[in-house]
Amino acid sequence: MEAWRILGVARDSDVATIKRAYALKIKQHRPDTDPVEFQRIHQAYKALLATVSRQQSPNRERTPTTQAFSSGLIFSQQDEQGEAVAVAPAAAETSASPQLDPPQPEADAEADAAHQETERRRQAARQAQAELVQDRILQQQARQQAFDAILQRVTENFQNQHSLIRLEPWQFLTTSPWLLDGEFNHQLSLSLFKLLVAHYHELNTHKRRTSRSRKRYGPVQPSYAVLALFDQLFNWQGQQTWLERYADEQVARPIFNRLHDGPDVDPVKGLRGHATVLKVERDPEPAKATFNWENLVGWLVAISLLVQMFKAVFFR
Amino acid sequence: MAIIGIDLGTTNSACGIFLDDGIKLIPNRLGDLLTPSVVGLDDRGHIIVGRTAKERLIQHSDCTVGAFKRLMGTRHQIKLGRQSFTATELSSLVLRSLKEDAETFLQAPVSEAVISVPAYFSDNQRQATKQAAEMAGLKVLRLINEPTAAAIAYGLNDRQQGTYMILDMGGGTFDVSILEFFEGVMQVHASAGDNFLGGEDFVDAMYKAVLAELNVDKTQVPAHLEQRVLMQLETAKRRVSSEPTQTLALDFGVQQTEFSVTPEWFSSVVVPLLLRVKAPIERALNDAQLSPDDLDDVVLVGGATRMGVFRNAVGRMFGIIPSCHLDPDLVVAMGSTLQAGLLARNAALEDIVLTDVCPYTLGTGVLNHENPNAPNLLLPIIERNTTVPISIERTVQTSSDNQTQVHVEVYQGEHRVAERNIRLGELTVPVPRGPRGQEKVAIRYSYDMSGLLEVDVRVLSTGKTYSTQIEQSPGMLSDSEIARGRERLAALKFHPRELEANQVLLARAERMYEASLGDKRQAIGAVTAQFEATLERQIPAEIEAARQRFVELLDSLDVEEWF
Repeated sequence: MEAWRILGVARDSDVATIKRAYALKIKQHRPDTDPVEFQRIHQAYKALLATVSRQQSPNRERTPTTQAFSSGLIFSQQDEQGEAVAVAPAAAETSASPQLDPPQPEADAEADAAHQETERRRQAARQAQAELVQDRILQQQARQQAFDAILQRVTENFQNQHSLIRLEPWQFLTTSPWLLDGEFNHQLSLSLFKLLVAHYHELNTHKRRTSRSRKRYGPVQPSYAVLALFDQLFNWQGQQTWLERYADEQVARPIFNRLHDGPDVDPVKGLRGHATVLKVERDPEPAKATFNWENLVGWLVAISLLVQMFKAVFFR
Repeated sequence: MAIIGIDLGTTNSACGIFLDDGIKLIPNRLGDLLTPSVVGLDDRGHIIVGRTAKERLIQHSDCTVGAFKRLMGTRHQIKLGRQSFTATELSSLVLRSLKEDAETFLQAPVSEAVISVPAYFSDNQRQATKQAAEMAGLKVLRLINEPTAAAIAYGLNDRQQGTYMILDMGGGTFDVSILEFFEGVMQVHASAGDNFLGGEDFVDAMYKAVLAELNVDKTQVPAHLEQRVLMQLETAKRRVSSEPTQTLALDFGVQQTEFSVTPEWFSSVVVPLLLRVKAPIERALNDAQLSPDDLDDVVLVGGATRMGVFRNAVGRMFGIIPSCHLDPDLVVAMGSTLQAGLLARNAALEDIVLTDVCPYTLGTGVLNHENPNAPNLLLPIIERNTTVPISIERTVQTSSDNQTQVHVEVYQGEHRVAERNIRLGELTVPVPRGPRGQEKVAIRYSYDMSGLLEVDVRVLSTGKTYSTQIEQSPGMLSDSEIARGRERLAALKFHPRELEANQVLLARAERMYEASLGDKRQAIGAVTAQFEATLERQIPAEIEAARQRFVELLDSLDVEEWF
């Protein structure tokens, strides 16, 4: 391969050797004085490093960075746990099933005792299972209750227009441990998204209906901070295609556009002191002397007036 | 010829020089290493720069301005008194002040400099910085990215091999860079950032929250009182992690009230800002194809990283305590100075090579083939976080029959749709008439070590080359405009240098007088009158002694932390 030759290293070199060779080479061909050769060396170096790291650890698992940070990773772990809960009753059944085998008639008394024993165990297993089911039901109920409570607050927030531009009314979302539950998170995400899409729909129709002067009494545009919080909690941008299909794409698109545009920033706001700032978009157009009829008429009127005045003065 | 290194910051600036025994930061005329990036006019229309101007922000807020770095590369005109300036011109005044201080310190003329800019500064903003220097009579040998500067300062300080993440939050910008140091090579793997996230935004957030909580109408607050409240909040911000409760006496003109600042209140106010820290960090890690575990250390740079909430947020994110053993306010200036030493080929730095990246994608608009009526798409030519200097060529073809011109638009940004990125400029080249797709032009983008872009367009059939250094973008000045700007600024009178020390004290006394009440106010008024009387007599030795006493008195009375 070309790259080995450019750096002048043996084919079985390790990372440290490659780095040393690269360092040596680029000290001879510095980026500021010899940019072309530097770039060639740099490309070779990058290619070699990639090859070597592939060889040394062919199937090294790397946690994708975004996942490590974002709640994504937490969600997936919780998903597994959620599954574990779902699987548990089935496991109890299988472990109980050997007990369900019909007892062998060996001796009556023994069989009887055995039968009783089996019966007791069966009972216990059934009870355990019932408890588990009960547990699940309770958990389901708790989950449902939490969900309803959150959804209620969310709906209330949506009714109060003001809360769509402030972050505080939504802070309670971040404190709910249920958000770490994958299924819960997903459901809440969908409900919230639906509400938001409905709000945007209202915004659109309102915009069409009313004149500009009355616009400020209509529904408000949610602020970036609020949308960003939702996005952070529910990873909306990660599921953009899916969500757009789920809701009406036309209505949902502005939400993602807003998220993509990032926070509002007005550089002028940050200035210190109280100097007046004039915004000049581009060079002022040089004023062109243009001929137009209005000018001509004006001149004619002016001249005729002058003539009249002359007449008045000199030919009295 | 000496080359100085300059950190031209949003809030503070500093400069230094690489001498044989290492980095030497240059004190300004008042003996401080940091010069506030504040410019103002005094009563006679003379220019004042630095701490004196900062002291005057409250009493003379209509002819004093700070934080103008945010407007670099735009054509906004900032009015000071009867004159108006662009951010480039104001920066140039700060640079001129730094240059004079350096010349006094070195006892030699200085004409060349390395200036640091935020890594995420666009081509526009870089050009503007360069022009500001030219107007101040400084030739820019290199623009260095701030986190890179910070990184080399750290790298050379420790001489330790490894991979580091540098988080640089200054007054107005937030930058992230990942840097590897090995065998004398300092290689930047990736940079990302937010051009509008800095310490000043935290103060603004506090101000907004206070107004909302006290139900004060922002438009009703007089300008100078607003400035004072901002300064009080800034002081509170600095102290918030060390003091459990601070009680501020706020005066809004329409309403005087006490307001208590607690760490809890502060962290609830700045949450939205801290949320914005995460995205650039993730992007930098992704682009460098590293996971947080691969980092040997996380280094904090910039005055705003002193905030406890910021440190906690970063600590939580990485699960480690970030390090910051160099002064976060000065480390960028130290790095710029090192770069200046590198360029001067100082023997002590002979074996160091620095490589940097282009922090954003640069491309051109091309027709969307699937839907020709839709807006143009961005064809990336230089992908973000490519190691620079680099020169890449892409070939495009005509998109309609009988086309006689190809319009090459230059964009910077990551959006798929060309228009939604930052437009840097355009270039129209003529091509021979022919059927669609017959004529091909090769577009070459060259990006240099200072982060400046050059575009060449070659028509393949005729072999003609058209080139441009991006010109048409707003905020860009032609050479004649720069020359005119330089003349205009040179004609401006600076406040007499030797009087500055006295001036800054009087401005400070004036501010303190207004800020205090009762006995304290009387005391300040009395010592000020005494000092002014001494100045009138114009006996240098006497003034010197009086100034000493005056400083001590003011120090004992002042409660606000300024630097």
